[in-house]
Amino acid sequence: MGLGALLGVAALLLTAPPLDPAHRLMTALLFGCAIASELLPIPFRGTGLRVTLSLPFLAGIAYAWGPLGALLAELILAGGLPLLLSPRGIHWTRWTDNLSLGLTAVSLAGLALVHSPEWLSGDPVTATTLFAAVFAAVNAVLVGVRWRSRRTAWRTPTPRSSDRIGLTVAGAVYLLCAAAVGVAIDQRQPLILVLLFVPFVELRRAMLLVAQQREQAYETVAALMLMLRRAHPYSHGHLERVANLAERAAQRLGMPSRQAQLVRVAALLHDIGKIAINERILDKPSRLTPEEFDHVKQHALHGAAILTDCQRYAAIVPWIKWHHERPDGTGYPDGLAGDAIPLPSRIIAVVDAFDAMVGGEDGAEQRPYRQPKTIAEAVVELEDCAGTQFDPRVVQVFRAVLVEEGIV
Amino acid sequence: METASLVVLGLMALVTTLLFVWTRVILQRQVQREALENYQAFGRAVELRFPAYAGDTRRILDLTERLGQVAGLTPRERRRLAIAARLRDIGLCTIPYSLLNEKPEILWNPEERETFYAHPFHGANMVEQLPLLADAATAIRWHHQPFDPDQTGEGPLGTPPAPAAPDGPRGKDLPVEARILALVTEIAFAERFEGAAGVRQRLESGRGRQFDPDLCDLLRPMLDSERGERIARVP
Repeated sequence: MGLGALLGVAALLLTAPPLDPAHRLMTALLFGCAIASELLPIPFRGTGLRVTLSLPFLAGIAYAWGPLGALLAELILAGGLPLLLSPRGIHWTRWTDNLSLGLTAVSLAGLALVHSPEWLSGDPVTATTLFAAVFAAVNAVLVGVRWRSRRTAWRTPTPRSSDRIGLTVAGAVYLLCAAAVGVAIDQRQPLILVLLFVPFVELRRAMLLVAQQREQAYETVAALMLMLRRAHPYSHGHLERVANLAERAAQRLGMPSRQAQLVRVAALLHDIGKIAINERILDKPSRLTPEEFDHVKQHALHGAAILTDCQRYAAIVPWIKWHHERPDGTGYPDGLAGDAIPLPSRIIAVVDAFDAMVGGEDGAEQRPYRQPKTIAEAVVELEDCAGTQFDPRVVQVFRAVLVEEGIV
Repeated sequence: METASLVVLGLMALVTTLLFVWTRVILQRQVQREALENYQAFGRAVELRFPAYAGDTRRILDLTERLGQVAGLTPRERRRLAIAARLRDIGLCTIPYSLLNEKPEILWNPEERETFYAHPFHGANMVEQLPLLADAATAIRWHHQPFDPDQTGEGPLGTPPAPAAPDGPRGKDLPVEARILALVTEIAFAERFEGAAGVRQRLESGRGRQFDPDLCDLLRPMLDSERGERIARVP
């Protein structure tokens, strides 16, 4: 990518007109706004696009001061400013990455401006919009390329269609902002530049609310697990591990990443119904009577009942309800068989049984009435019960996940 | 100004307005609604563990909301109250299953009473660990604390009243959310087991002792008007 940046910069330097001193005040103002916006980034995780409002202002500089001016500005914004703001916290690879990305985008956008017809590059509004459009396009392509090259087979989330729509809308609004900057230059109204910060700050607030939403969801899960641990101190110290294995298995079985994440949550919460179970029965060192076993079996239904109100986890409710169902139909509570059992439930069944058998990584969290097995023994047991208690394909995939994780 | 410029500016204004509507109205409400939904999950977990004890949820939520409005709480306090009302018994997960399911309260020995009345503190400690909920921890901690510990009367069904933590706040030092919860939870319980006459008696005997007198004075007309509505509906 650095090579591309150098080529682009060189091309621009060769073909661009010299810096235009005409709009000095406006340029200074634009530059100030660009810096201000760099100080207010929007936390927009998941897509890797650097979301600040600096692009429209940069586009304005490209018109008011010329493409070389935009190049200089980008050097300062992406190169100098991070150095200034956190001299010790610089992640050097990321810094060079961002800088070369920015320079490539600026160069190509500038070149587009230089080599486009007069009616396009002469009018401030169209010029800024063109610059912003090319910059954004180049930026998006390069970010996509960089992302894909770092991707391992199943780790990276793919953007959903709603993400794509959101990005398109955001992109359109971005171009609109660039056009507004062009209007500000054309009409010599610096006030417009300041007003642009109003929607931007509001958008930032919106993104923070979305982040809060996600945090809330996480806290709910954490709190429920906390309750379970307080009610049953001997159970489920291994929940995090179980959940990770479940998510990997889900991805390997071809589930989209979003669903695999939900499987992870389901794995964390699958025994949450045990909050409503008598701890004396659960921790009983000897075998359970039929009545006691019936009582414990209720935890599947209880777990589903607890999460019924949460719209965000509505999909998980049946998975938890049926995580003790068996392919041969002898499970509980409903005695479902084969493919009637949702795949996530089948995954959780395998992962939960495995972890119960092995009793935690160092054998410290043992079920009171069974001796812990070694991992190899547990895998053998899983394979023995494949077809009856567990889905054979899930067992196969699970074993592969264990190998991948270096556990086996 | 040329038309193009006007169009651009007009569109910006439109986009800004839509953005404000989305953020302040739609998104904000969605986040808050989801929060309360999630908190309901905890209440449900407790209800499933102790079904006999926790049957009054909807009534308690309704009464706390209305009482909070009538008592003139700020929106922030009302929100804290809503969270505390839903999470107040989260500490019950530490209470042994058999205690609340097999032994009626009137037969408890002092140890068991002490175990039970530790639940507000367990709950508050749990809630404090969660940054978004920690606000409501104080209200949860004191939701069984009597208003005036020096002169408490009887609890419901002839049981001893809730014990006061010796170094806990008293009177108006108690957070208003805790005072409301203390009152509403007892009254809802009394409604279920002692009927309208029992409720009236509890309000009178507890006013100023177990319960905040001002809150009692606000609650009584609310309950009376409900009863009036119920009577009026009979043909």
